[in-house]
Amino acid sequence: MRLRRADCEGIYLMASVNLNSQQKPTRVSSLPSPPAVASALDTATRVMTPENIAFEYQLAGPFRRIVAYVADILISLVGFGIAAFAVWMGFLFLFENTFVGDELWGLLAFMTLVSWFLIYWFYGAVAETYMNGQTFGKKICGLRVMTVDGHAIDGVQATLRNFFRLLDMAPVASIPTMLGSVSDDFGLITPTCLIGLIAMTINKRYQRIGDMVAGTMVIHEEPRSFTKLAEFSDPRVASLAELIPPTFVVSAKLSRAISEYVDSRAKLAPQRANEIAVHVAQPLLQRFGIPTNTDADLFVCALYFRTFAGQPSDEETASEPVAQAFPAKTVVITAEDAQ
Amino acid sequence: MNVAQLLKKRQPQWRELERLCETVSERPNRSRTELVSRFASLYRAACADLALAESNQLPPATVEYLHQLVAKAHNQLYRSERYQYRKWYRVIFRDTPRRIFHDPCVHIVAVLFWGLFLISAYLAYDNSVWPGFAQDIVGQEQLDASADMFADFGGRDRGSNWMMFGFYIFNNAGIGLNCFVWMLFVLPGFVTLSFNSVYLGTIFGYMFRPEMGEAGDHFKNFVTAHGPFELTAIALSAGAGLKIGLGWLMTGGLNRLDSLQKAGRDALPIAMTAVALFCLAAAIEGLISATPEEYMPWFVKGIVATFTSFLLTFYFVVLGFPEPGDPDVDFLTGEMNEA
Repeated sequence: MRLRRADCEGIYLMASVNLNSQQKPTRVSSLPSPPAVASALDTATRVMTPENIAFEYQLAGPFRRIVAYVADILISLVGFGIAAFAVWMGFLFLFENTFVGDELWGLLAFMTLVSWFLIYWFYGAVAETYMNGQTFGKKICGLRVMTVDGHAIDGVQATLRNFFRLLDMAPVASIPTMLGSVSDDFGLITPTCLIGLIAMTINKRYQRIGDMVAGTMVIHEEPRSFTKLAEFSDPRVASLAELIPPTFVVSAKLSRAISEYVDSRAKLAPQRANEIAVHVAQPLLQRFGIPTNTDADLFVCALYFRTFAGQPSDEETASEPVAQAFPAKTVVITAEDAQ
Repeated sequence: MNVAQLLKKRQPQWRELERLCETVSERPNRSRTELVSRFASLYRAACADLALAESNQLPPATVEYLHQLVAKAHNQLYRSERYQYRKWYRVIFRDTPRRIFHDPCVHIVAVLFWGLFLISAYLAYDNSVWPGFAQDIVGQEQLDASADMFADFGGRDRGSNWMMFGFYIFNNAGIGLNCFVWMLFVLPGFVTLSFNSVYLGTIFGYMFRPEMGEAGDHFKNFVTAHGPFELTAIALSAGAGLKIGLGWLMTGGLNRLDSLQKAGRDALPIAMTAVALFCLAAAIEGLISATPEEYMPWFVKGIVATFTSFLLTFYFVVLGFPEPGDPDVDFLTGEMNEA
């Protein structure tokens, strides 16, 4: 999630205010709780794992989900069509002479309707149970059904939430009538999904009624790739970083702010970048006794360089115990191994 | 160690975990043991990295990446619980019939459904108490349409009969499902249920009138065999729906949402019994009801109806009857008091 420009400025301001008021910013060692405002605005939900760490899921809104649903309908229609066609052809060849033609077609039509009925009502439930909370449509759209506390769903929940789709898609409306036609024949009838939409808007997790009954939510699994640290070609960055006194400890808030800034500065006009950077740079330059006409953008880059890639600090880092607790054997796993 | 070194050290393992997530998700049950245990330890290490992200001052982009990585791995490690077939025997032959036998919601709905059905069937059959009842309720057009439809039924065209029956399954199961889901709001559910029971009752009564002749015979021939299963299924699905609807109205001391979810879990076996009955009714419909009079006289279908009614009674009353030493059942809520 990229912060908007206004938000960035807010963070920089907060950071600089912090600098002025607190002489010795201390490091935060415990797990921070998310800021209340951000969690109220964001579409993320926080989950505690049995490993006792909290991570965030991105909730999926109605419009992503309707796409997945339409994809599911298309997939089940096409799959069912192909299977039905194959069975019909098979029957035709096998029983060519045994049945009267009409009867054969009637029996096949009956069986086809019954199996379509079963697929229509149980495709979602069975798929979500056996594919770990995903149907094929959800897989394509990167969605997954989870319980509200972030665990995998079970068969009962999958069945319940799929039954109640009928209610969530209600009420139905007739398209010709909506277009102004006045006739007894309602023509094409379409579900409006109004009940589901209203239910989604009145709760925090975008749950439709089926989700509320089953105690589930739908999350979006965003594929996100690892982003490397920013590197600076300008040699002045490294030399400026050396001017920052080694006793200065960058607070968590400040390090977040400068990292957000450096990640997005490429998209900003130089003047605008300077305008933002000056809020952090100015008080610090004064404090370190560096000439205040130093380029603010350059200084924040230097601060970033020093914080993330600079001299290792003397204090013991927290990553060591992790590496000892979970020693990484040098095993290379290839695709063949996995088979 | 500074952040750059930390990232350099940890990133190969994160990347490996990412790769493993994909291999594991492709064939969840056939992954090799060492692969799974490697996956688990990489996952725990990533969890620890995420937990320490703040105190290690990792840049926000990396923290977001870790959130996503941990969520992805979490969803592969904790998988959906599948249907537990071993429990099914007990659930199907012991718990479910007892639940149905005791459930006040099922009683209320069954009395309402069958009561309205029989009353309207009688009023439509015997035109003297409320002259023109059938016309008032269903309308002459609909009555004529169903009379016409059944007038053509018979031995001539079994093929198209079968197709019709397939359609009926959709229609009748649709009625059941509509009752089930609309009962969540209780009142609309009762309206749907009453409307359908009066409508069906009226058609039954009207078609059984002696003056209907051919069409009446064909109708009797068609509905007798699968009637018990199909109508009971409608009543049961409405009963299950009412249970869920009362779940969020009568919370019994629980949080409203929790109570709704609990009611959903309790009501699902009843709803699934209804689904099973709909499927059995469909099978009888296709194999027995569809056979014309010449091949299978009406009394055979009568025997089938008697037998299925007997089966239903056996299931609901004999299997459902409480044994001495059974937990007490609260009459109002249908709760089993495990004391």
